[in-house]
Amino acid sequence: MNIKLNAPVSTAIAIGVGIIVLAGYFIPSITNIRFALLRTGLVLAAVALLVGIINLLTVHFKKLGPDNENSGYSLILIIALLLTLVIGIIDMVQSYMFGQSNFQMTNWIFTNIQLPIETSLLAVTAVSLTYAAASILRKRMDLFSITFFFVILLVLLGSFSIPPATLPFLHIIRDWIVRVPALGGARGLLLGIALGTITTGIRILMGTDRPYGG
Amino acid sequence: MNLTIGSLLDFTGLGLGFLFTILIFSYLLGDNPFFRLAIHIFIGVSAAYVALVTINNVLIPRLIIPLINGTKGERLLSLLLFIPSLFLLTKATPLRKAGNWSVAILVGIGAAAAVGGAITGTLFPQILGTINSVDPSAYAISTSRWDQAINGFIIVLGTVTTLIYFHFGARETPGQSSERLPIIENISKIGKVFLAVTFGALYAGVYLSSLAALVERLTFIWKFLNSLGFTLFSSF
Repeated sequence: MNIKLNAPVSTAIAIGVGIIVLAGYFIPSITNIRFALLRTGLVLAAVALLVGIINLLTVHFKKLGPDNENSGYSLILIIALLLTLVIGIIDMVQSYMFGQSNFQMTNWIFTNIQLPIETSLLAVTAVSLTYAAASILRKRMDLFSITFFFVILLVLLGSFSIPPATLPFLHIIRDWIVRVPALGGARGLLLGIALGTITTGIRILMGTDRPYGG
Repeated sequence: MNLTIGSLLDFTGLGLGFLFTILIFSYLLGDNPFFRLAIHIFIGVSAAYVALVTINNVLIPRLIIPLINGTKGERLLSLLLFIPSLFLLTKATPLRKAGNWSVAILVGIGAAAAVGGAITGTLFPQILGTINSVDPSAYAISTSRWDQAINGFIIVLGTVTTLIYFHFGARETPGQSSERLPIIENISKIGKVFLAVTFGALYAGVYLSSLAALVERLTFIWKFLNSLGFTLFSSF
């Protein structure tokens, strides 16, 4: 008889650990156990992140070769990743072995490569958002689109602080939109997300959903 | 000599920043190899940076240092943490099934933390906030009570109708497609308007942030070109 032990063991672990952590929110005497398990979760999440990065590397290593027309990009990604990792490890060794905790080279990479690219991507979004907002009424003219468009317009006009474009009543309208109807909608959204999270979490804690391969 | 190396590094950094900004901006002309090149470098650098931060801020202080320098108890605890961590690493190897129980620990803790966080961090505070908006005893003295009452009513209406908009339960009718109750359908239309207002306000916020980033990048390009001797605007 072939007994699959892995599935029930994993399920029992997930349910057991989950119930202890959840109970820790409501029973003060087991709060310390909850914190210890949350710390365990933090370390495991960090290791899971490393697994994800190793997976990214493996996927791009597999893409290398003359058959794949995008192999050049994969090679560049691998070089960028490994180079940054090596430089960071050198910084880390300097920090822990010789006490020079300044991470100068890693910070240089962050400031001169990562930060400009991130800011530029956000800047490019401005152009895309302008185009999307301009074309929304052309593509779909209904109550939702009209409300959406005019709210964007009012909030933007009310946010300008350049003297010729500053109109006090637009500031008041903007503040009211953000403070009242937008808050109502956002609360509804947040409550919906919270209810969805609780449902999904309970399904996992009851063993109905087993995303760990159980 | 140090000053020369320092300025050379600074200049190289600025040059790289300028180059990557132009490569990303080339996307405005459409998807092209220069943009893809910058994006792949970005993914590589970001992944490595995240890995380094994780190792330096989580794994070394919480796993490695207690294992080397900790007390007997700390060493034992770290060792207990080390075992599931090692099994989790097998997920990146062909023996990936061996790491299932480690993932189960992570998922169990994550699900419980998410449920607890959603109840104590979102559900109760948001419901309390909504109740307080129509509670006269919670009103501020400085503004008119009628104003606050009307605003409170609008907030409650927005919250309830938005929640109803996401209610997709339907009554089954034999031989016909399932439809929502007419009352739910009508209330959800009001919820849709509140959603439009919320998304519009969020969109405007994101747009303003991206506009600030665009201005910052354009200023950077101008300053960099000016530093190279290309005087674009003398007053800048």
